Amino acid sequence: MNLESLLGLALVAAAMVLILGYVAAVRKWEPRALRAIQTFQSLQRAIGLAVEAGNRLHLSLGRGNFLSSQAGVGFAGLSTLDLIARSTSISDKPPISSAGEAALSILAQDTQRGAAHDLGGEFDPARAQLTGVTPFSYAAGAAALLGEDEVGASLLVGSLGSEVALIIEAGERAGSPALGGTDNLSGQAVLYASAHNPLIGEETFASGAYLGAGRLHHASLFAQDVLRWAVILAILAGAILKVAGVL
Amino acid sequence: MDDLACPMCGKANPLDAEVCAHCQARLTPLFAPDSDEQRTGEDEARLATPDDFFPAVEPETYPDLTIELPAPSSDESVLPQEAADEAARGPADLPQWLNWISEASRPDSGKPEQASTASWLEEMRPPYDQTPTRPADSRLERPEAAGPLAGLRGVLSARPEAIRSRKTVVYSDQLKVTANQRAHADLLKELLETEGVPQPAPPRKTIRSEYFLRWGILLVLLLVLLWPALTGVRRAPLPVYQEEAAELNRLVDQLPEKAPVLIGFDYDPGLSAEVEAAAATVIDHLMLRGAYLTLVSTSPTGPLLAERFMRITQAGHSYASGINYVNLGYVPGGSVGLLNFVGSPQRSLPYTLDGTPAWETAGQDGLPPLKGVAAIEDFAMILVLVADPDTARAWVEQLQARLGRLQTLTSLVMVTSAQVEPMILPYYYANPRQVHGIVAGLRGGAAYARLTGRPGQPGRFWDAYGSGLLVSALAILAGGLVSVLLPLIMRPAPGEGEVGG
Amino acid sequence: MKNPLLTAIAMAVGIVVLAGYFLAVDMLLTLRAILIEWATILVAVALIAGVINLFAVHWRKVTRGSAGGASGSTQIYSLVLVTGLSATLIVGGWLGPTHPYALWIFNNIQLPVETSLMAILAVVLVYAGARLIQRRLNLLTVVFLLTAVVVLLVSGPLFGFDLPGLAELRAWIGRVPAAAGARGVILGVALGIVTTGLRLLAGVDRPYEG
Repeated sequence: MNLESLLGLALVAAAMVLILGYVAAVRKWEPRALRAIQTFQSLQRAIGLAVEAGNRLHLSLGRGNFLSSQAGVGFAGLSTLDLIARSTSISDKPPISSAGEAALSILAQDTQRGAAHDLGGEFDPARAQLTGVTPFSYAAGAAALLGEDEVGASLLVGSLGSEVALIIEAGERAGSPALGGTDNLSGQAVLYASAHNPLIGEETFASGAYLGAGRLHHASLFAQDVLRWAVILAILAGAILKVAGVL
Repeated sequence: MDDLACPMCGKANPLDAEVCAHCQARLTPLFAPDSDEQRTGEDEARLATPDDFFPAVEPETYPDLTIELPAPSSDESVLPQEAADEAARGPADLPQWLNWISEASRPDSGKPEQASTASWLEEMRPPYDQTPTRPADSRLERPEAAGPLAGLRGVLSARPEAIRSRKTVVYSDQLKVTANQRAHADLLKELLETEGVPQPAPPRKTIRSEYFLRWGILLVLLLVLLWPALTGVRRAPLPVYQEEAAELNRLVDQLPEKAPVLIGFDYDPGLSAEVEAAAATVIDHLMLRGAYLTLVSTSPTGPLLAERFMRITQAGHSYASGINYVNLGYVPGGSVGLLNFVGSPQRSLPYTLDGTPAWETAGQDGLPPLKGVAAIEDFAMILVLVADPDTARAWVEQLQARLGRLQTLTSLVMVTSAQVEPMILPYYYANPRQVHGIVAGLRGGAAYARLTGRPGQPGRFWDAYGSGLLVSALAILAGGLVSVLLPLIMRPAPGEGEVGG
Repeated sequence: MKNPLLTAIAMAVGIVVLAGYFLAVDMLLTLRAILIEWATILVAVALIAGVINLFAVHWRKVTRGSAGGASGSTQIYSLVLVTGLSATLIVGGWLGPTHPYALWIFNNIQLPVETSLMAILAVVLVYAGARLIQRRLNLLTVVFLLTAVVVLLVSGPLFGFDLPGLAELRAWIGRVPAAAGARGVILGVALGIVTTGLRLLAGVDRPYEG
């Protein structure tokens, strides 16, 4: 085992220890309050409006390949989809999802089917669609959904590139604001410029905790925060040592 | 001569008339009057009143109707009058135990004695605990003085003026509502009627400035981008190359003839214009060096883009599929598929895009571009054409896992879209270097073209590219300034619009 | 409808693959390779399933029309999609992807459409940049816009001249602040991916149980 593998294993182990430790500690103390993020506040409002006004929410899961690092944000999007599907179960218009990757669309169908089944509703496979296999065809298909299906708001959580601007533009024309985040750098820049409420960086992975997914999501957030500070300190230490000539 | 007025019709009659000459009503009573009350001719003419027919009765002699009438006897021949007389005389021969009845019925029997109450109870009596007494209605208490009911109390008077006839009031069956109530009722009715009818939402009006701004930007961009192509004017010199582009140029120059080069076509059709314009000069350089090219892609549309690239942009080199280059097709599975291919390319993609066995095995020679190639490190150079930062990073990470461990001479170089450059540059400046050369965007391609002296596509687009960038930058700057300054200019002066101002 | 067996399989496979990355044990490496091959095949099959789903959704819009919630124009678009998909499948599947007919479809239909969408994207991004301050006025937005303007100006020939110093400025922006910001974002995203993956391995998030 080389140094890189060792460091990787240590990181994973540290994350697991932090998550389990937080879960154990929370039994004694109250979970910490989360920093206010405008996007999630807007999302809560959008969910309520969708139920009251008889609109539906659109969740775009991006085009992340499931056999790459983009799978992580894809799973975050699926987790968000599950929470939203359950939150809007009392609405007569359940949410729809679009994906640019086939495995992601199948998992989205599975997620919505599970939510509908648990809540005693019916599931229509057309609610989770594969809208295209290339980025622009996916964006064009998702944009078409916004125009035809009484969408109240669009939530974009997944691996989305610069083509996300087309989806946001279509949403603005249809009167449905867009909010969300991505792990793609180009997509983040475009989201910042176009979306009403963008999520920057790892805020996308906090969606579960902010939408009330449970204690383990809060624990994941805690582990992310601790590890981020550890990485920051390691970078600073390495820079200082490099400047000092030690490294 | 005095006349006698008829009590019925009021007309005059002679004094000695017994009946009215007009209405035949009796003018004199049937009973003989008392001698003291005998009417004389000297009596003044007056209206005959009911008193003339019924003798006036003094209040003290009013018959006491409260006297108990005797029980009806079995002898039904007894007239009610006789029974009444008998009752007036009082009961006779009642048993002793019923004497209390006679005592009670006597007018002077007196009221029952009031029971005495204790003093403390008397003090507790609330002040309002008094038997309400009905205020005496003087009219009802006053005995009637005339008519057949004379002497009785609580009767309607027989005098003509006592009863005033009036016209029956006709009550309307229409509900009386005010105008305000009518307006409210109409509103409620309308609300109830329209409740089940879906109201179409009014169409969302597009803000005019949005519409014109979009079209304005499009038209200006089209004009500046098409102008150099339409006029054929090329003024801008090709840019100076960067260090990483120069390094790539050096590495290609060092390749031997017929060196096997792996090219990964990992960009999407939408970004093909930029990447192909940048890569055209690099692959042109490779073809000038006579390199054998092996094409592969981790994108589903990659193989077709590769075929198109070879046939259109490199048409001048006469490279033939299966002879000078081979297209292995699509590697499914993203990073994992790439890892598989890097670990074992023969096993991952054994055939070309058109189904021909590609690799050299015991039973076959394999295609010329793959002769002597058994593993990834047997390629002299790996060139990746990529437009996505994550894809670029995946190639670097998966290849470095193998190439870095084996410390081969295989160089990894990239032609990327401009948006990928910040992500890939750290790999170039890393120690040990993980990416050995980079051409980023059209600028990098134009700089590479300046190096090789063969402008190609970058040279064709360089002027238009520069104009487009300039217009875009000015549009963004102008939009920002307008957004900041316009509210300041349009803000009303202090005091304007205020009441009294 | 949570199936403990599915959860157990997902957890076991995930742990084996993760361990195979870090621990150089022969059995783990072999198992990891086999599982990844299976996953690669499944992803390819999932692509077929996804395309079938796409076809089914649009076929339903074409056949049901307004009864299925599709307006007239939507029906036409769906009909075009169904026709195009069928034609491409027949031509590419029967004649091969490198046949001139298949390449003609790709070069003359798909490629122009996608590059046109990219062109529209350019206009959309310029418009979004022009309105950004109006939508969100703060220091970060001002820095964002100024950086974008500077990079745009120095990336091409400014007024037909390649001014000295601008190239160095652009190179510095790409090498230092942009790379640093990108690295920071990527590190944060990587940490998020780690915790998300651990939740999946622990069976907390189970998107595979419908």
